[in-house]
Amino acid sequence: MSDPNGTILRVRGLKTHFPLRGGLLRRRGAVRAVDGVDLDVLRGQTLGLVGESGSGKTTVGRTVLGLIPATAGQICFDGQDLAGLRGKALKSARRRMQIIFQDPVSSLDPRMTVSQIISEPIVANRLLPRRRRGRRVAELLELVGLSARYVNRYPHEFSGGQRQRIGIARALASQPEFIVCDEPISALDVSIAAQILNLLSDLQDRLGLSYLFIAHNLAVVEHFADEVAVMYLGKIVERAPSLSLYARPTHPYTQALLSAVPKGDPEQRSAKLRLPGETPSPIDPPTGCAFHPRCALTRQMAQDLPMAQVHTIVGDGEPVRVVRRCAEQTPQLQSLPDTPPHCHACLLRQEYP
Amino acid sequence: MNDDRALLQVRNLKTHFHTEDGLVRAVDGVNFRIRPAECFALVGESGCGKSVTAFSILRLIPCPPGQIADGQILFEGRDLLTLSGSRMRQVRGGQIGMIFQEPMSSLNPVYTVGWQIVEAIRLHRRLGGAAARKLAIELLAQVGISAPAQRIDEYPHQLSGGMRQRVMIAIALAGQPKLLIADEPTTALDVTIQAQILELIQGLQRGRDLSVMLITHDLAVVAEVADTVAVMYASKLAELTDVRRLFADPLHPYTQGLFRSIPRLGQKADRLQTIPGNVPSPLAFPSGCKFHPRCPIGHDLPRCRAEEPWLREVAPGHWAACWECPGYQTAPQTDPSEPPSATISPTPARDAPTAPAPAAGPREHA
Repeated sequence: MSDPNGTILRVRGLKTHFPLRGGLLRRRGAVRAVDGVDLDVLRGQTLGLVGESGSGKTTVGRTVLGLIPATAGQICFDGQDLAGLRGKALKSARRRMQIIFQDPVSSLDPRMTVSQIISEPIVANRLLPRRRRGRRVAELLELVGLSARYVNRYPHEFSGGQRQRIGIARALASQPEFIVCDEPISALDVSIAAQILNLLSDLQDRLGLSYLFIAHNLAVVEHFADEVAVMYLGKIVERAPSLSLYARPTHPYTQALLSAVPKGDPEQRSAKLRLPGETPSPIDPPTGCAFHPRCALTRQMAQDLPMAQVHTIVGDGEPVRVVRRCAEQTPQLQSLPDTPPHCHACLLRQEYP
Repeated sequence: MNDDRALLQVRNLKTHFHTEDGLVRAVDGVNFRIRPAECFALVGESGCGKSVTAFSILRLIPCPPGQIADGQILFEGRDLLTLSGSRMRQVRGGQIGMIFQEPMSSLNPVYTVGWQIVEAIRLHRRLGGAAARKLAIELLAQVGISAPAQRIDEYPHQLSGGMRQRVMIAIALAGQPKLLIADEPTTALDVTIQAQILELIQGLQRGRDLSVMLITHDLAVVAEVADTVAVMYASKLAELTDVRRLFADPLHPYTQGLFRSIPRLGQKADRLQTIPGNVPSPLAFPSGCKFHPRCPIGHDLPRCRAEEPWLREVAPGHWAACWECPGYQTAPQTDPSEPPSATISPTPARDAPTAPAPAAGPREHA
């Protein structure tokens, strides 16, 4: 049943739109949080999904798990289209997919003990009879590096890092094969974040887990992911094996994003590619390539083009001239000719590589 | 001894909170100085006391339960802890401006941003309404807001996070500050916006000879903007030196552990090194050196377990509080109330007269 090339999750053309209603219940469009995303997560590997706030990365994670209904597109888990599953089959597929949340405080019920929290997935999926649950909870706690003595404590008695470990133990309780890690370390202090990253990586080795690792911190994703997809306004603009993406970022947005990350070296206070402006609203995204109003490359190329091929954006400040095609044509992900797994969606780079 | 080149000197500051569970020594004997036009970074993990240090300088510690139990805070030679409430209000938001992590909760949602900037201007400059509004538009332009004449009449919810932080900076600038205290100013922002805000703060620091006290947990941000860095752990300073030296040669085992546990761009390692254990609770600090239970060197050394080290100058301009750090035991004993200084090129003091300027900031606790 398993996919021959080892793809555990295959997402094609995924769209998640949230309808908007006007004052008098008049519909006026939608928030296009996810707008046509293709992803593959390979068995035993980590796909990093990076982007700024509002890029839709969290919505992708939740839609994949069925926590938010997809507007369009196909989600195949281990060869089965989740949209076609009902009842028992759906429940069994969902047992195999879990999530770890960002905030270890709000994701644990303060009125449940650790033992209740961790055994909830076991009970819900009827995995073990009551008498064997205690031992399983203790095993899970030890797996995530906590003492089994803690079973009867409440979440508030733990530090942030320990709470995140409890959240991980809960995710592991139903013996999943695939876990969405939604910013699992952003709420933690640096010395604790490293412990949690190491734990996730050990668990992957021991249990053969596959991760969709959602994060905004590019350095963490570089460290952790085998493959990385960069999102901007609901779309993937670049996708590549981690080494290739960081060595040769190709899309102007990825380049700007990487250049904005402080390098952590006072001897190299980087000359930054400054990204002007802010992410536009996903309610009314720019036409064509959604990145064109902020893109340095299109501005630069527009300088040498005849006026017929140039589009002028009039906004708050100075008018900005961009390549007309960028404002009119929607780019598609395409492979770099020499390194096919490395894809990007920049019209200009596709034309003049 | 007064150092004339220091704009701010914090000496042996102790800020305690009397809680139901006992006495919390949130800041316990902290010394440092900030020079004119210097960016001084105070780095540490949550709960180490870095924000309480900043709030103590501004005298915004709620009392009770809080109390500045000891120490001096000399700003241009005057001890802020002895100022009257009304004099302190002139300094706070005036010569000392501040910005906080969450710009949405620091701005009042029911007033326009213009109203809030004009309030700050009129509190400490003798300007009429029209002139104050004109200045507010200028300030918005200075912090990089496009179309400031339109933006001035917008409400905070109409602005993005980065814009709101720019408005907060404009409000801080309204008081013509000499020192800007920035408490995690970019933590809530995306990296591209963070880069914009850091660039703005650096520009102001150079253009206006502004000293900046940057409070952050992010060493990468420190590397980008700081001149001098103090690393704080468990209510005390663990290490203090200039930024290049700290990154090239961290001496305290805690600082070393922090550096090793951060994934850096372009340096892929198979496994991150970690600091074992958790940050101790201020209600139950360990004996001796507070880092010893987590320390790879000192966890079972009798001296580290029994005696608490104090900052000493272990190399010229490089201060550390660790018994086992090279040079510590032979370093001269220092007066605990004397603020250490990292040797960086001295900057001439600014002598422009500044109008007294009352607060435009959050609630005050007397």
